[in-house]
This record gives sequence, C-alpha cells and structure tokens, in this order.
Amino acid sequence: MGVKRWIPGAIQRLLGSPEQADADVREELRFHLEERAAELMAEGVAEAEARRRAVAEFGDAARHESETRRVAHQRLTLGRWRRGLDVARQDLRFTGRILARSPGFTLAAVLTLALGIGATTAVFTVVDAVLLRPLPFPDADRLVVVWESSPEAPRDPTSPPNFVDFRDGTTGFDALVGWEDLSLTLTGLERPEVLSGTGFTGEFFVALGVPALIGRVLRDGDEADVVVISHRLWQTRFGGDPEVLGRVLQLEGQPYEVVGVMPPEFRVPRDKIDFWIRTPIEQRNEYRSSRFLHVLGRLRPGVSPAMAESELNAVAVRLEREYPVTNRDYRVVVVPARDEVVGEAGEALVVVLGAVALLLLLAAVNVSNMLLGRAASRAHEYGVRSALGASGARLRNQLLVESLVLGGTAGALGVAVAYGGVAALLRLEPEAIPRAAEVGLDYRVLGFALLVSLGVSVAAGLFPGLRAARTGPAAVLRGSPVRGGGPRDRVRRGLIVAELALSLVLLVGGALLFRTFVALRALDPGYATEDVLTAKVHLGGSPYTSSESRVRYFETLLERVRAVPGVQAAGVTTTIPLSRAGIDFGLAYRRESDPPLPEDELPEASYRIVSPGYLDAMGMRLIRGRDLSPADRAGTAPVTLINRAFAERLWPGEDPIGRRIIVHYIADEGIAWQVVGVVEDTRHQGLAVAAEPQFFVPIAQAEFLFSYMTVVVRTLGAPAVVADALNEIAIEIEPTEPLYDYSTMAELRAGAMARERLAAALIGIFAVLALILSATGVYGVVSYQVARRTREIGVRMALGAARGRVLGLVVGEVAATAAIGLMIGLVGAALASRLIAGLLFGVDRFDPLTYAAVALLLMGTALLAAWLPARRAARVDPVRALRTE
Amino acid sequence: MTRIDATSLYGTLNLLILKTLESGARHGLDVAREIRVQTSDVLRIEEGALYPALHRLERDGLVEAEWGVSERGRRAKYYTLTRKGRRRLERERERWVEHTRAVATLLEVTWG
Repeated sequence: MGVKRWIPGAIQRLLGSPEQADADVREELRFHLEERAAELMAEGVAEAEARRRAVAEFGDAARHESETRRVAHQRLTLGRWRRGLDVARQDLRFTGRILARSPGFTLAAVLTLALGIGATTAVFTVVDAVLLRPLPFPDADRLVVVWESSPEAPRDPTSPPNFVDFRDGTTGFDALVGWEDLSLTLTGLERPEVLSGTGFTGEFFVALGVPALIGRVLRDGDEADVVVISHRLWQTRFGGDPEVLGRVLQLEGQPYEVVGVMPPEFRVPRDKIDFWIRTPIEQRNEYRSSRFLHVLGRLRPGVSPAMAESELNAVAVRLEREYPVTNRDYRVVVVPARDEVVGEAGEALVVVLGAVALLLLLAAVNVSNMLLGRAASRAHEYGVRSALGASGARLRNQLLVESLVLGGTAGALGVAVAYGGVAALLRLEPEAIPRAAEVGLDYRVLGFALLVSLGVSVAAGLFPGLRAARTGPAAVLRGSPVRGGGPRDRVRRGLIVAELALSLVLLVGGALLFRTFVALRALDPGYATEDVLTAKVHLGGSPYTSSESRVRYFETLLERVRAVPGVQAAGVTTTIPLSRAGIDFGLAYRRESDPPLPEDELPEASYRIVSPGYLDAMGMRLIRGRDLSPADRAGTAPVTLINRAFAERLWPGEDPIGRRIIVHYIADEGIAWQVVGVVEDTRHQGLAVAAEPQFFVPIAQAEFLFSYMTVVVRTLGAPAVVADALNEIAIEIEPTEPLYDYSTMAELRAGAMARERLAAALIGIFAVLALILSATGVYGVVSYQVARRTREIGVRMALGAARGRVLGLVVGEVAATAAIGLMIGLVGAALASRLIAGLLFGVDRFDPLTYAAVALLLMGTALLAAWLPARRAARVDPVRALRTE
Repeated sequence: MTRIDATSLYGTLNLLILKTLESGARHGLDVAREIRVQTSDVLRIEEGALYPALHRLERDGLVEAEWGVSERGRRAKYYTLTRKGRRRLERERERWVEHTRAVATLLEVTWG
C-alpha cells in the first residue's frame, strides 16, 4: 500500500475549512462507489450490474453522506478548541521559562504588585466592614440616634421631660427609646463589683430587633424589678449557668430578677455592658435642663431621617416657645445609627483608602514600566518569533498571559499580605476602629482582590504588549538598535512624571499627618500624662445620701490612699480630662461687680468639684494665688480656682485673686465664690481642643456633692500595684463600694490620639513605600535608557564630550522630567490635603515647609536614582561602545 | 447461511473497523472488503455506514486520516489506528469475548 504518510502543514491547514471538509467527504464516498464498481467489473460483472450492486451494498448514500459531513464538522470545531488550548499551554510554558530566566525581575514585579494589592485589600477589608456593611441588626438602616443640638452643644442628650414631649409629638417612629448610663454596685455574690448598665424606657430591644440568647428581653409593661444580663456578665459571674434565669441580683441594694441573657455580640449601647433594666424615666421628677438621656429610634418604614428630624423640630420649636429658659436655641438632629457608630473614624478610613489607592496606582505604573522596559529589551526575541511565523496577535497574547501570570501570583500573594495587614491594622489601633470585631476577610473582599490584581496586571501588560507587537521583525533582525527619542521615550517620561506626582501627594499627606502626631505628642496638655492613675467611685449605698457624709467618705479615702507607699498625691474630681465619663456641665455666672441679670441670659462656665490635692495628683499647674486647702470648709468663705481661659474672660489683663463671681446653681440668688488661685489651661475635651472657661470649687463647700466621683492618684511608677491597694482600702472603708473603671492618664492620652496615630502610621507606611517605588521606578527607566543609548554616549565621548557632561546630560533630563511630576504633585497634594484637613493639628494643610521639604526629598531621590546608572554610562569606553553596534 | 446485519449491532461496527486497521492503513473501501472477506460474508454491513463511523473514530482521536494514493492510482483517504485507538481495540476485544462467552454459556445452560 503506497501510502504517503506526511503531507505538508500548509495543505493540512487548507483542509481546515467546512467547505473543504464537505468536498472531501463527497470525494471519499465517490471513490468508494466507483472503485467498488471497478472491482466487480474486474471480477467479470457487467458494468451496469456492477454499478447497481455497488450502490446497493452502500445503502442510503444521501443519508450516509450527510451524517458523515456532520461528524466531520464536529471534528473541525473540536480541533479548533484543542489548538487554542495547546496554544495557551504553550504560552504558559513559555511564560514560566521567561519568568524563571529573570528571577530578579519576576520577584520585583510580583512583590511590587502583591504589596499594592495586599495593602489595598487590607484597607478595603476594614472599610468594607466599618463603612459599607450595615450594622448587625434587622433593617439597620431604619435605626437612628436622636440628639438635641444647640450652638454650644451640637450633640446633646435630651432631658426626660423633653423626651416625653418628643415621643408623644411624633408619628415617624415605630419605637423611640430613651436610655441612660447606669453604674450600679452588685452585691450579694462573693465580691462586690460596680456594673455598667443601661436603664431605658420604651421598646429598646424591639427597636433593635435582637432576641435574647436564653430567656426573654424586656418589654413595655415589664415591672422595674427584672433585669436582662449580658453574655459577659453571665460568663464571668455565673459561669454560664443555664439556671441563671430566676436568680435575683442585688443592684445598689435593690433586688432584680434575671429574665434573660443576651447573645455575646449584642453590646448596645457600648462595648462594656453588663445589664439592662427598665427605668420609669418619665415618672422621675427631672429638670428640663438635665440633658442626660440618650435617644434611639426605629423609623417607620418609608420615613427618612430628614422627615423624622423636621417632625421633631416642630416639637423643639414649640418647647422653645414654652420653656425659653431651658430650651432656647435647641433643635434636634437625627443621625443614622451607622454614622453614629462609625463617627470620626470614617473620615480617617476614607483618607487611608484614598492613600492606598494611590499606592496601588503607583505599583501598577511601576510594574507597567518594568514590563515596558523588558518588552523593549526583548524586541529581538519578538522579531525572531515574528519572523518564524508568530502573528502579532499571538505575541500580544503571549504578553497578556505573562502579565496575567504575574498578576495572578501577585494576587495570591497579595491576599496573604492582606491577611497579615488586617491583623496588624487591628492590633495597631483596635480602639480607633469601630466595629473591629466585625472585620474579617470575606468572599467580597477576595473578589475585590482578584479584580484589582487582574485589572492591574492587564493594564500593566497590555500597554507594553501593544507596543511590542508593533515592532517590525525586519528592523529587529537587521540588528539596528532602537534609537533614543520618539514616542517610546515620551511614554517612559510620562511614567516618571506620574510616579513622582503620586508619591508627592502621598508623602505630603504622610508628612502633614506625622507633624500632627508630633505636635500632639509634644503638646503640653496642662496635666501629667505619666504616673497618674484614675478610678471611679460611686457611693450608691444608703449611708451616703447627704453631701456631708460623702465629703467625710472622700476625705477618709484620700487620707488612707495618701498613706500608701508609692503614692505622691491623691484627690477626687467630678471629671477627668480625655474621658467622656464623669459629671461635666456648665453653670451660669456673672462678676460680682456686674448688674444682676436673669439666669438664662448669663454666660456659662464649666463647673468642677475637686478635693484639695487634686491639682498635685493631676499635675496641673497653679500660675497665680493658692491651691484649695483642707481649711476651706462648709463654714468658711466659699473659694474657687479658675483656669487661665476663665481669668482672661472675666478680667482680662487684671489680677483676679480676691475677686468674686456669682454662680447660679441650686440656691436661687447664687453663691459668691472668691477666686483664690488661677490654674493653667488644660486640654480637657480632646488634645486638639482649646480649654473652655472652667472653675473648681472644693468638695467641702460644694452646694451638692455627687455620688459619682473620680479618684486621681499620682504614683511613683507601677500604677498597677497602687491599684490593688486602692481597691483594698475602698472595700475596707465600705464593703459594698469598690472602685472601678481603672485607667491611667497615659492610656487616656493614647486613646485620644488613636485616630491620628492610625492615620499617621498607615499613610506614613504608604508614603515610604511610595518613595521606594518611585526611586526604583526612576532607577529602572534611567538604567534602561542609558543601556540603550550606550552607542550615542560613546559617540559623544569619542567626539570629546567630558564625562561630567555626559553625566549632566542624563541626570539633567531626569531632573527636567521630575520637575514636571513634582509640579503636578504639588497641585495634587494641595487639593488632596482638603481630605485630611479635619485630622490635622498644629500644622497648616498648605504648610509651605512641608511641601518644599517633600518636593526636595523626592527630587533628591530621583536624581540619585538617575545618577547611579548615569555614572555607569559616563564610564563607558567609547571604543567598546561603538563596537556594540 | 444466516446473515447478521452488523450495522445494527451496537458498538460492533467500531470494533470491526478498529480490528481491520490493526494491520495497517486502509481506505474505507479496503475496510469494507476486509470485513467481507474475513467474516466470509457472514457479517453483512451497509458499506455507506462505514463512513460516519470512520469519521466519528477520527473525531474521537481513535484513528488518524490522511489523503494518499490508492493501488490504482486514485486519491483516497487512508485511516490508521492511533495509539489511543489501539488501546481501545484491545479493551473492546476483551469485552466482546467475555460478553459472547457469557451469552453462549447462558444459552447452553438453558437448553441443556
């Protein structure tokens, strides 16, 4: 059988079309019929009979032919798929070889991308959990927080009488709930403990839509002697005993029956919560001016926060008319609960997200740059392959596969970076990130990472790919080197411009935030932040109902605390700086020399009750006069300390010592307090908040001494040891009144700077990464350019150009390019600084020094990155350079 | 002599084609002739049905086809077994033998 086994591929390809396949089938079948007939004739059958028999043996020719054609077409289609798969497999294998051949490049590109993708994913994970996802309640978008709002206090709680009017005067809520913070002492178990709880009126749990873990929640109509406890309290005090329902808790001496335990993730209204009880706030006889009641609402379906707000404001206007003394200038704001929870952290997170997006962009530009450089240096390879028959599309695809492999690897690595990044982020500042417990990598975030990595890799790979495919094989094979100038160089210069501009924006932001952080750290807040321990005390029990008994208690406590070794000073106060807890409110005042006015027309100053020794314990400075003393007692003349801000308000430029202010509180006619000392201003509300006028009266002379106070102790190192001693002393004096809520001023200060530290740390890290990326980017571009222009440089030097001039030529070009990038970056940074304006302290967002320093740093980095390869170029031996042709 | 229509025996035609190709490349007519001769005309096939079957085998990668020149100098399409086709032939042959033996045993028992 003379079979021709191998037929050239060109003919094989010709067989590939469906029409050709049809013709082949027809020819094959005709061959059969005709040859069979010929066979029969050779056996002696007559021609007509032979043909008839051949056809008869063949069967239904038309059917067989069409069936054969169908199969042949299927084979063609299948073949095309197989070929495509083969090509892809080849591309992949080739990519593997190419990438393995230059591990340095591969590692650099993958790491750059992975870093960008990882950082972006980490930040997006946090932003997603905190800002994008709804709160973990059913129909959480209908949950709102209601505040009263005046020019002085934009977010004020309301008072019980106002709350009742608001609740009864609106129709937009399914539930409107008033609640207050409670600290009640738990007794009757093995040791007393001050518990943190919430007393509410209305359908608190129904509004939130969360059922109890065991037992039931509290509803309208429940008596005031039942309690629902938190999972934490259930675990710590009852060992998770399922029989806890029905047990009785002694809170502040009152019995409460446990009817339910909430699930562990239910921590409303704050993280540390032990119990919830109903308090008939409406029935208590409270002042309209005592604004301590927080309000939570569930909007009726279809009612927007704005609609509810305007309805409540109608009530507020009526109240202002009816009660001008207490309600003047008070309006209502309705805030979606999520905004309330996220608060100011949202602003910082958005800034960080913007910064990380810039970083990702920078990484993409850098990798694109690297691929571009490689594409050019591989022009020869492309030329050869193209000459060997690879189409432009095939080359493009190959490049795309390369960048997809890079992107895929980087994406996988990036997710790992993100895992670590999220953990680090949460460890860095758990307090600065609300809803931290809800943060976790999920499929949406993984999807985001995948999208980002593929997007970046395709964007970074397509660009060089398109250019590479345009390289003609002839030019490459002829061996002529690619000349400088031309569109390719413009692209590379554009990349340098983009890199420097992006880096400048990030670095300026990082520098401004860093300076903010430094300014906050260096700030003298007016009190000591080291070696100061604070603890709360709450005299709930029966023997301490009068101011006199409370004064005696605090004096005894302080006397014994001062005797503890390691205690330098001790005092009590109504409120400590940087802490939202405590009693802090303003009272109306006038100078004694001023004519009397109605109380509601007088200005207010912040009222503090402190013990002698408080100033020393807190490290506050007396700048004039004397401190309060134990001799300032109920019988003696009322004396007060004022802060510098108050002194300047009252008697600017004059000596305030010995003068008197009339303060209106409980006594109708007010009390005349004589100023005996002036203390330096303190940063009370926050480190960035200037002091408001404050005055401090001694506990023994206060009109009314509260049961909640904060003990402040100045220690010689190791506050923890002193804390134990404090606890023992407190329980010795009164077994049912332990101290609670210990914190040091160092902790409070750290907490007050958490948001700034988070922003400064993150953006600082991103800025440093940006600096490295742009340095390596410039270095890469210039190295490549220099290598390509070896011949040109050689010619110049052969013609007598000095080494210095060659160096200057290369570096000068980069300087010009960098200058353009920095200009654009400066404008961009000035615009972007608006985003971080709210985070800045102690530095202007247009601070020229910062901008100039950052621009210089970047210019220096770019020049250094250009100088290193340029120096290599200047060392070129002209003769050898000319031979590289 | 009873004649069996092999076209209607499921899977048999493929087995027969593969078997005829075992000894080397053949065109369709050659395959038909071989089946006729080797089975002494007991198995009669509708020869046209060979072609869809051959193309199916080609589609599935069991045979390869190439255009060559026939004994009488005409252009003809030649089929050869691929390695995959050879493996398939071995397997099918074994299965066929087992199958027929089982059927034969059953028939003997029933009639015996």
